Amino acid sequence: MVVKIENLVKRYGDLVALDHFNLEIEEGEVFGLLGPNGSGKSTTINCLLSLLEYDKGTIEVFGKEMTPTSYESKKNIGVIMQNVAVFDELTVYENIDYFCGLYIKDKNERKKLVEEAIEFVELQDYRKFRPKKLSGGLLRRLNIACGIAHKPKLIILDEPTVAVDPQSRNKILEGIQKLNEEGATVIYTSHYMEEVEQICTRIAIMDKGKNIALGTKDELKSMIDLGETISVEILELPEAVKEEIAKLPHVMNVTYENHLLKVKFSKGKHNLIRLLDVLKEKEVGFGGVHSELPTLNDVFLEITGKELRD
Amino acid sequence: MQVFNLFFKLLKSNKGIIIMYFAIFLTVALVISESQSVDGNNDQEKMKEEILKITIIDEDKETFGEGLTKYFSEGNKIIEMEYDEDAILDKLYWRKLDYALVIPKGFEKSLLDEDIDDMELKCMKVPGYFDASFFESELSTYTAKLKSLLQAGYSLEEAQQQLIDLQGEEIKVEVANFINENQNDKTTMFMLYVPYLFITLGMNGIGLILLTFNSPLVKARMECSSTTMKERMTGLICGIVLYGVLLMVAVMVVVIIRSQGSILTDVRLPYFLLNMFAMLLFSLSLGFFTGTIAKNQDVVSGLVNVLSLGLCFLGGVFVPYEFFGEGVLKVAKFVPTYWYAVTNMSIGAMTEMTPEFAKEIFWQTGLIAGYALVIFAVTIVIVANKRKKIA
Repeated sequence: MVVKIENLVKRYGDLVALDHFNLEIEEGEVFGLLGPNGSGKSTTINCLLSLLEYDKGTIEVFGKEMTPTSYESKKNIGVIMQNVAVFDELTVYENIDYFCGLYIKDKNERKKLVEEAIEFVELQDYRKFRPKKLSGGLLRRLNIACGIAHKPKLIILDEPTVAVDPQSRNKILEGIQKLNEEGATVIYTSHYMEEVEQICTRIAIMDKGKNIALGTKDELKSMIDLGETISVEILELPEAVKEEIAKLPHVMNVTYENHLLKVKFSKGKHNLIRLLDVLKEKEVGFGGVHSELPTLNDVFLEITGKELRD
Repeated sequence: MQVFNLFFKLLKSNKGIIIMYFAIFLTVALVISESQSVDGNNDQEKMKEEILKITIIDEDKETFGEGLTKYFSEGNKIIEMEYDEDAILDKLYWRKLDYALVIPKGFEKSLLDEDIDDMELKCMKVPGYFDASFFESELSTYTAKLKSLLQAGYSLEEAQQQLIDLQGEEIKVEVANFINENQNDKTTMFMLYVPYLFITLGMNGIGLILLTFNSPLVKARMECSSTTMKERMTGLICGIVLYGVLLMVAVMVVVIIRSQGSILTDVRLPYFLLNMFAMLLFSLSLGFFTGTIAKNQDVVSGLVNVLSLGLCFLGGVFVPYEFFGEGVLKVAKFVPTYWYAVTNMSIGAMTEMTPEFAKEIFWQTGLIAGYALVIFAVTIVIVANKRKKIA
């Protein structure tokens, strides 16, 4: 077990940021913490890193209690915060070298690791640049390099792709998967469900400081009734036809807005055929037809009654 | 070592500010100390027993004025000038004059008529200035003795001659113990401005570096690392100490060049260094404090300007403390720069080291170091509280 959190409670005055939160992360996992802003993801990470004092509960990392002075455990942890934490006065190389040096004292070993980190985030052409001269995406890559240069066994990434262009985002996600393949356990927090779905082997969905669902993405999706959502482009849909569609088997919900009919079905067979048969029978002309499997947003919506991005 | 190295990398990025303040210091210290100092190429001539610079303006133009001038010309330097209040004040300000005495018209007549209370000698002096007080006391003794002799039946001329005859045995030696020709020399006056350099560079250098160190994001990243708090603090304090040593060395290099090496054999050097070291400790503590409490660079700049100028003006670095009124002087005594200035001037005037003098110097420099210790302790408490909030 790499991380074990039990009954963690953190209050900010009257606000309960973490409410008896529990979590267990195994070695080699890419673990996703998914939840809307203010759900308690960053608070969990800060408590885990002993940057925040908590009111109740226990946190263990690598089988040992985590405290501000757990330097042995900290040796094997790499942190990439939501905001870029580097020195503007130092160059790309100096920044990575400084933060790596907080873990690795041997100069020769450090030099090798810094070079590897620069190569890993593809900043070879920018090693003498100061952070202010880097674009947002490159800056994020520098931030990551500073957190992983010492080759930690546990890497914690707190929303590392916020305000990053799609190209850089893909590079970051690929990098995280590569780090995991090299043996690192990863904790990844985000409110972007697509990212979490893409890279995480196991996901915890958080809301109001609680762990409301936990499992692989397939396990999470199987927790809900929703089977698929079928969208059909229709110029005009009579109310009577809409009512008839609502009476079809497995239909959970029918909406028609902006010439788009959306029908949510619970798990079942032949949903699409039945829907198209009704439209043909009632002589309703239609254009494009799309079928979507449930997303983590649907899981969150069904459990909490609100959207992830709310 | 990482933190120690980082300290100097960050210091390098602030070199513009450091050079600017050092240039300001050099300009102010060199120009003003040059104009205020009294030494020069004719040092040997000044070895004479000319202690106080006095002007006696005789508006009465009678025998008393002549006798008084003759009496005080022994062991003092009499400066001849007309009565011009602005000119006198100007000379007093620049220490070209210690005391101006005006004998009003009709003074001798009132003296001989035993009506001295009705007419007094007028004086102009620097308030609280030791030399002036000393002269005033001598003047008071002179008039008291003169009155006694007149009452005993001496004529005015005889009485004044009698006092001149007695003078040599009584006064001169005592004065020479307190004041020497080195007082207000170039080195002393240059050293007087050192607090400005130390405070501005201590606060700017350390303040700005700590501001970067304490930026929440970078700090959090360092807190997450396996480098202990103790290691980080040790690196930081070693950096601060070395920075302080470099500041002292820079000042001493200027002093040595300026004195053409003579300071190295000057008996006062260890005491100048001690006083400077105490002020350095105070300035570094102030820098540590500033960097800990400041939220951004503007706050650091504001604090540097307010504290460096405030402490230097109030402490008698920029304006001689002899010009302070009683109220200001009372406040100034709570300011470490005041004790630096007082100690500096005492060291400047030192001819030989007596145990009493050494005790006084150690006590005063200890007081400055005490201020440094208090500020350092308060800052440590603030740091500990901040850490407690994070942890």
